[in-house]
Amino acid sequence: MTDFDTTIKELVKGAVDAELGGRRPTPKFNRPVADDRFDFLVLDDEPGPVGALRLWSAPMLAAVLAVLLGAALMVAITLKLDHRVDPAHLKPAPARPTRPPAYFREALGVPEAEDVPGVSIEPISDVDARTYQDLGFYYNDPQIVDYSTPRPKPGEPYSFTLKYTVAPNEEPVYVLSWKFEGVKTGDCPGPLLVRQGHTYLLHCTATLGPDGGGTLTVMWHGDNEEGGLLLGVACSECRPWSQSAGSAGPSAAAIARYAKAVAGAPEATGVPGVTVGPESSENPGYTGLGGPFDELAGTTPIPGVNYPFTVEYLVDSGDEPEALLSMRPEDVAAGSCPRPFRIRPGHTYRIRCQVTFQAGKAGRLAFSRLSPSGRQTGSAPLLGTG
Amino acid sequence: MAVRPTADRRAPDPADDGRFDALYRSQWWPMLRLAQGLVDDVGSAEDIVQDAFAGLYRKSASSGGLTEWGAAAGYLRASVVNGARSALRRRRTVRAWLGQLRNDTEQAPAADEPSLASADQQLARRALAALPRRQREVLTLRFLADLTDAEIADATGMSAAHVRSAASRGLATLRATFGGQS
Repeated sequence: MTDFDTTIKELVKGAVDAELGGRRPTPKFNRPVADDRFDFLVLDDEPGPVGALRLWSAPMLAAVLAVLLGAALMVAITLKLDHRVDPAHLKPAPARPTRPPAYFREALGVPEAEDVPGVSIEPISDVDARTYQDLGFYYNDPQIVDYSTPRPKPGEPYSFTLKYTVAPNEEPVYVLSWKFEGVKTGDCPGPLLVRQGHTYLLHCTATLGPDGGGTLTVMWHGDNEEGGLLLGVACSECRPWSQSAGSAGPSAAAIARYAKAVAGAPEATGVPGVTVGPESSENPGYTGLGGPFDELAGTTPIPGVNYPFTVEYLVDSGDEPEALLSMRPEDVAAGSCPRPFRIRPGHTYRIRCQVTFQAGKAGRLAFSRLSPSGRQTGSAPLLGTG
Repeated sequence: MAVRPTADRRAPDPADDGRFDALYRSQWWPMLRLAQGLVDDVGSAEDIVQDAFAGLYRKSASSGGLTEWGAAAGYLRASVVNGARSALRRRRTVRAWLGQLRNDTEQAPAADEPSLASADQQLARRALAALPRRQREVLTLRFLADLTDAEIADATGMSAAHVRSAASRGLATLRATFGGQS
């Protein structure tokens, strides 16, 4: 445990103890009344009319259930035979699990995914399932898997597919919604309900603005969790995603495309403002931003003032052999980070950036990680709040 | 109408009762602390702990009895975690129905109620409460019950890898919240 962990642990303990008003005397335990130690179906020898009804109710109920079970079995066998002769039924549609909690449907009025045009539903693919099996977990990270054109141009409409998978270990149902920013037009199906253990393909359209940029924020809201991820929609290196969706690893063509895209990119050690350290022992198995923005958390920024800050990016030792990492502040008056550099597994990168805030805006740090498997983008608030 | 005790139930074993009482005396406070850490409401925390012990008592008085008293604390912790999840789900549902999803006023102390916690303690508590559910559970069990990752995995039903990942992410967020104070 680090000093920080110990400090935060003691603070939380102290806060909880204060909420409880200090240590209390243990109250007397109220033992549950043991009324279930009597079986009311076991009656004496003279049951009477009501007692007789009770006495016979269990066998009668069992007989009725047996008849119903037999009928259900016959119906099931008939349906299965129908499926055998109809090729359309050979691949069953994704099973629809339990209905979502009533408050999702009624309080939010969000439709089922299957009722929303432009949405395809699939079971989790073998590739995704293997990933889940290997890691033991994965997150509901959305991906753009297919563009109608590899290099969308400003002013020209194009389409793409947004892939969103709800892992088997996640909540039973989420509300999925989205928001385009920085584009001329943008539209995806939704909001809609998405369910555990399924993959959803949303068919979206967009037209880039004059600057050729634009983002799509995908948001998911479950019973206990909510999250979101910012995706770039002007991605010119988007094809590798479709490669990774259909095969166990990146193809030779994807690796070649990656090599061409990053040709000339420097190693991290050769980039001013970047320091390289060993893998963090506190974050095993994790690749991504770690402990960022130490200098800025809690700051009330003054517009026009330049603030330097350091962000950590961790790469797990089991990650891909190489990727290209780039970062930049967004939604700020001005800001910069070191130029893109190559990252490798089993290292921690500390990147020195600077930012000048806009009045009333917290700003975000956007990052993009390009590898042979595809491009991953994301962002985090610079001041530690959304 | 006469009823008679069923044969497959047993009378409470005085030895088990003694073990249960000892366990109750030693574990009531740690479980209350854990429940309070998870639900942030003393009344709910006390109910959750009472339900957890009641469940354990029923188990100890059932036909098979409780054979693994050494595992009783683990059973209680899992019961407290599940009870807290249910309580939070009920609370969230009620707020959703009332249109108060974002309204935390009912959790805030009254204006004339002095808080015993320091500003740093309150900040730590709020930062922990703001984490996603799994990260919050993992760090609460680590901070308030001093559990290992394997014990946390048992109590929450998560895999050990997921526990480590959730802890890392949660700690990273807490570090970002506290900034230079570490």
